[in-house]
Amino acid sequence: MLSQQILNGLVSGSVYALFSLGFTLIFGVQKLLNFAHGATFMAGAFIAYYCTISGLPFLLAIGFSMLATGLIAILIDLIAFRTLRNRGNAEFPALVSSIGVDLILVSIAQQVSKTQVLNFPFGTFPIKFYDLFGLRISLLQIVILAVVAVLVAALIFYLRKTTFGRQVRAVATNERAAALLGVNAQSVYLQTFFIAGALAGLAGVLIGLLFNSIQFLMGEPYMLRAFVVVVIGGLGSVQGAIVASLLLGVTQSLAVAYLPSGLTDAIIFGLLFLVLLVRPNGLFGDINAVAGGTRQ
Amino acid sequence: MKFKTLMLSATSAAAVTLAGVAAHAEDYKVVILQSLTGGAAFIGKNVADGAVLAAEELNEKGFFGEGNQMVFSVEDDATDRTQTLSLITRLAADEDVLMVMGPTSGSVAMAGANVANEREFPVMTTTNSMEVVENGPWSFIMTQPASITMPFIADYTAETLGLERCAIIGVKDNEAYVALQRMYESLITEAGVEIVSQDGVALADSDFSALATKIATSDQDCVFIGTPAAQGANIILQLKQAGLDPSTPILGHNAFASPTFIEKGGAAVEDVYLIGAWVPGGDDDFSSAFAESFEAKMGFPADEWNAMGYSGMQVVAHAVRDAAEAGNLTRDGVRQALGEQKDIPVVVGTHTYSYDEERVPYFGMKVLQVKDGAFTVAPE
Repeated sequence: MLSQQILNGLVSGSVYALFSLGFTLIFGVQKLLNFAHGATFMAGAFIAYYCTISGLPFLLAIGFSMLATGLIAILIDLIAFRTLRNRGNAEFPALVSSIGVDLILVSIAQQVSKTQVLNFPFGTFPIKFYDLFGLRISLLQIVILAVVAVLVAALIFYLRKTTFGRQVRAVATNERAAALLGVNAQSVYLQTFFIAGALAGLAGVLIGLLFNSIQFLMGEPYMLRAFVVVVIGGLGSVQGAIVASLLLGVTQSLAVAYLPSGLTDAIIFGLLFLVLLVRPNGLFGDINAVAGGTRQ
Repeated sequence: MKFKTLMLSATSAAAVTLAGVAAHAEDYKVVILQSLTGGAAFIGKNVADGAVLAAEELNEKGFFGEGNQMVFSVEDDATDRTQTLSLITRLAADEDVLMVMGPTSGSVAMAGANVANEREFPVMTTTNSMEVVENGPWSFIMTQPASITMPFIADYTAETLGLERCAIIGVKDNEAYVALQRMYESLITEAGVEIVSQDGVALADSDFSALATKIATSDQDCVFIGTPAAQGANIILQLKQAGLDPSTPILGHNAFASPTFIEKGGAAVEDVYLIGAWVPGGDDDFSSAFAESFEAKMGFPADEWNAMGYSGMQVVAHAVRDAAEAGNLTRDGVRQALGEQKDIPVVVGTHTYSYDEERVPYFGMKVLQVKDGAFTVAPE
């Protein structure tokens, strides 16, 4: 059972990674906690669901959902963050503002779904199971692991090896200095939000598909996990978010399997405190890991 | 001129007659206060939808007598104690409001009961918690306490099916579900069934992969799942996908008695045992008519909570009408009438609803089984 539980944990953790990457990316660049990220994740699942039942091929539904959640995230930036950011000292007001956006999106989803739990129609994705080295793994789990690995690699490449990545890191380090060097900070923010939203949307679709459940509150437990991930991984650190997500997924899986019920959250937050005691800035230390320096 | 005078007189007479009718017409103001948002919305929203349909139908068929009607509004307790306290305090201050149908469940219902008893304002909470009843004479519960419902499925587990080792999966963040699970555990333990594992999930959880693997690789001859219908169906799907022996009986409580359970679970929930106050689609004329009108109005089939809301409103309406007919249309009159309701026709259980001397509701239960994608009465 141990190896099966580790596999379960890695699959869950890989989706946490997809979710947390966008969250940590926004924090890394803007130093803002975007509480509406969970609602964006939920919106991704809802949009893909309604596209699918409307007859759109599932792959197109995923693509449309990612595009839509990317645009929703941009809208969130424009409505909830931009004005506050321009005024300076935006951290606390932006936090409240993002909670407001989250509540609005959740309320809309509740109205749209009439508070019902939705699920993708049977057969949306082939249900196939394989026995590999004594492990029971589904085709969907394999696809999820592969998709997450490819997307994470692409994101890291994008952030480290492209002009956009350099601009992101420049803005994250010092927005004013970056602007003086010709970087359009607003454009960086919009692109960052789009990427974060699209990743959250995809995570929502994958979770909805993997666990057969789409509902208006589905973002809440993932938000809680995302906080743990970004703190354990190191605030703003992409690599940290990935490692912490996988660690969290496996820890959660093993806690459910081997410890008395109800201790899972205590173990997860215990792990959080332990990491903070040993490495106060998280596993990947630097307070501004996306930028590679401290924001000024 | 003579014709004009005649017309005026006729018009005046008609106006006087109409005014007379209007003067005698009564509006009975009741507020449906349920969790339309927040964690208990899965219960409260459904109860409210059922209750609204019942109130509309009762008004339409003139249940309260000619010209009289129930004036109702729907409010949201938001699964939040502070909002509930604030709303009930405000409603209690409005002398026209006779009673509240709600709040929904858990600590919210308890908070509502506290303020209702302080303000001498009748509330019929959706919860099945006896603490609400014990809180004072103004607070009622709409659903049967676990001590009434759970023996049906516990006896079926231990005696009818003769099972010996059960794994239990419950909800950890809703008091009503926890109470049902505890009662089941206690009853089957007394009957000699061993509980091999107990696990709790949160209402918003959907990832049960670790739990499913744990149970699928454990040694038990039954699995009891005490969660809402959609979540239960999802857990069963994941249990089957994790390789649970298909012959292992799976049991649940009345929350599974919802079309959602079969719709979400598909073939995976075939053969599952449950108790139900509501047989989806109805099992007599009244309940079948409700199922039909609910689906026509809402666009989806009624579930257990919709049926409970519909039934609860029947009881409220009878209490209000009884108080009015007794010439005691006050909050105290409605409270007394509510506690005295006996054999009110409802769409749940054995189709009649009664409060006993301790204000404990009884309307019965059935053990059901999913067969060929439908709920059927389980074999004895």
